[in-house]
Amino acid sequence: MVHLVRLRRLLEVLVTLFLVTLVTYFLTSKLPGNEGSVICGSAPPSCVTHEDAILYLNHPFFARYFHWLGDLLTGNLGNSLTPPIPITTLIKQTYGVTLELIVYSQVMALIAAVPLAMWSAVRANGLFDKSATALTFATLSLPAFIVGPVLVLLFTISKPFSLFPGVAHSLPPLWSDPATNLYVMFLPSLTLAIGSIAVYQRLLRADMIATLEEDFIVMARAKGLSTSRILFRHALRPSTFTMLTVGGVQVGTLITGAVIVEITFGLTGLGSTLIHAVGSKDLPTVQAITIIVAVAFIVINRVIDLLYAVIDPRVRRARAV
Amino acid sequence: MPEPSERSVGIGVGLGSAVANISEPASAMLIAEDVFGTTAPVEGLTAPPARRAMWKRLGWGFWVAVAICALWILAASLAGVLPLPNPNFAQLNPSAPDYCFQSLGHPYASHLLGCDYSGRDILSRVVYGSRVSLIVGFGSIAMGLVFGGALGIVSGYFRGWIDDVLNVFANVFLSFPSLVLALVIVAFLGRTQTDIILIIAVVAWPLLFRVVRASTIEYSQREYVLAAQALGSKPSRILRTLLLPDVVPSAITYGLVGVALAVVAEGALSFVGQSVPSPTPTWGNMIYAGSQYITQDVTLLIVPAVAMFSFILPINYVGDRLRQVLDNRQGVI
Repeated sequence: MVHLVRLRRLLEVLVTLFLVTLVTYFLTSKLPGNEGSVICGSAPPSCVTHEDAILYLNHPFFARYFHWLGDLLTGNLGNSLTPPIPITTLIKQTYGVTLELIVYSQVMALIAAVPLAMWSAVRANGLFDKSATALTFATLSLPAFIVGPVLVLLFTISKPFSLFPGVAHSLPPLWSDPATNLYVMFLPSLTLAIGSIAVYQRLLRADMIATLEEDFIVMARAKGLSTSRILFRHALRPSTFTMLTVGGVQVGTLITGAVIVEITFGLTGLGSTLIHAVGSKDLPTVQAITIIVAVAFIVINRVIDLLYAVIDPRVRRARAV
Repeated sequence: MPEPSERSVGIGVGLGSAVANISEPASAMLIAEDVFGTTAPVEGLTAPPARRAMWKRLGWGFWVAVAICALWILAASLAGVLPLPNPNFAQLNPSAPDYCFQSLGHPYASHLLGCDYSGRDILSRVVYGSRVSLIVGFGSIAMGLVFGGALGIVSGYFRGWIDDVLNVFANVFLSFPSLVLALVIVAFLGRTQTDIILIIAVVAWPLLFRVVRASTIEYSQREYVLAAQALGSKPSRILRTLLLPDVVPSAITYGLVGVALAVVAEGALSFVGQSVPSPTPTWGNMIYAGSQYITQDVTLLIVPAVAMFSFILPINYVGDRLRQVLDNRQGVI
């Protein structure tokens, strides 16, 4: 029975992945700018037909699609149009920044949200809880493209607080100069973290309030354990369930946010490359980045599903049956 | 007896995100609850007559938020009638009385909030900018609700293979981060206002589909639906007369939060230069321009940012309060 359920889920993921590639290909193969003419520019029409032949453009839709899918599965993403370099190289150069931005922002968000949520839950409906809840509600209405420029204004431009380097500061690789890298990436990551802090604080607070009413917490109190020990060792893990689920869904929001943050702070990541590609009608690059981002999103959500078992022993037992 | 299964449905369009827990209680649980009268009758005893309680329970903050939203809707629809200069007009003659330039400093008698980098009235641009945001916000969600809602109610009532197929279909669209999907469709469709409405509707419908599907599943196990089925009513009649009125309140509630998310999504597209082309003012492209001129004049950034925030916050609040009051299910965000 369990195997059947797993098989069904796997099948669903595979069907979804297949359809994702189909939708992406369908949407991007009809870009108004014809690939051949984008490459050739003002060159003679013979160049356009030549390029079209190379790119399979004179074949029917499904022939082109399966040709492209075959290339995709063998890791051949083709060349970007402007400039003509292999897309795999382009992606290798840029994904690091986006990944770092997302991970860095989530570390920040958890560091801020966990204590906030705990304190709100311990004194539920108290003054701190009420102001924290109101504040997080307000930040949920602040999109990254407002937060980013305002942070730039506050912390790089206005005199007493110009603590951080300005927009488009050169970014050393994380491995060779971690201190400078993390310093330059601080504001961009904070921009992305602000929304997550609000989401995590609200979810964790709600679950924490429920957990704190459970018998085992009463028991822990009766044993005379300190509040911080109860909170961190007993109450935190069973309260993270919803937060983890939403964390998976959040990845989509974070990728969207990363695109905005990269544009705001002049970082060269997957997002700004995608925007550039859409702007210059660079179809193969748009396809490749969209597919990679979508597949990453699906895989992360699956992994989080599996992580339930690690966090909640009840799920582990249910799966073992 | 089957346990009620908790499912989380996440909503994340654009940069804001809203998440709600939607439970799908199994029929046995629901009936048991109703038989023992644990929910409705108790509330009936403590709560004053429904209509007054509703007004009171929403609180004064709710009505303030409604008023602010209404003001924005009014401003957007009356922008042409209000005494505002043309949002795309720049007075280039320095001796004219309405000459005004960002680099000359503030304030000006004829321009309340001053002018931007090319001499256009900021107040006028913000008010006209609200048009794009509001039309796209409400229009796309209305489209998404009609399309996603219709599929959701069918999916939730019939279940079976229709449900499976529609779910996979919705999941495919949910597999793309919203802005990435929107960008790809922008490249596919174009950038007129109608295109943008359509694009955000395509991005938003799976979420509205899920909301409507979840509440349809819940309501279709109630006794009155079972009774109608037992009496031999046609499914189309049950859907139209029994389930539709049940699912509309929660659909509209989530739709309001959806409007906020759609406005943010439009703003994000504008910000990266892929929404309605300039010179049409939108909050998003004004914020982007403001961030480019940030060292010279802060008003260019602050005014559209405050405008956008002052619409998103109240509409989020209205949606959130309505959900708390209308929905007895637990909504976290």
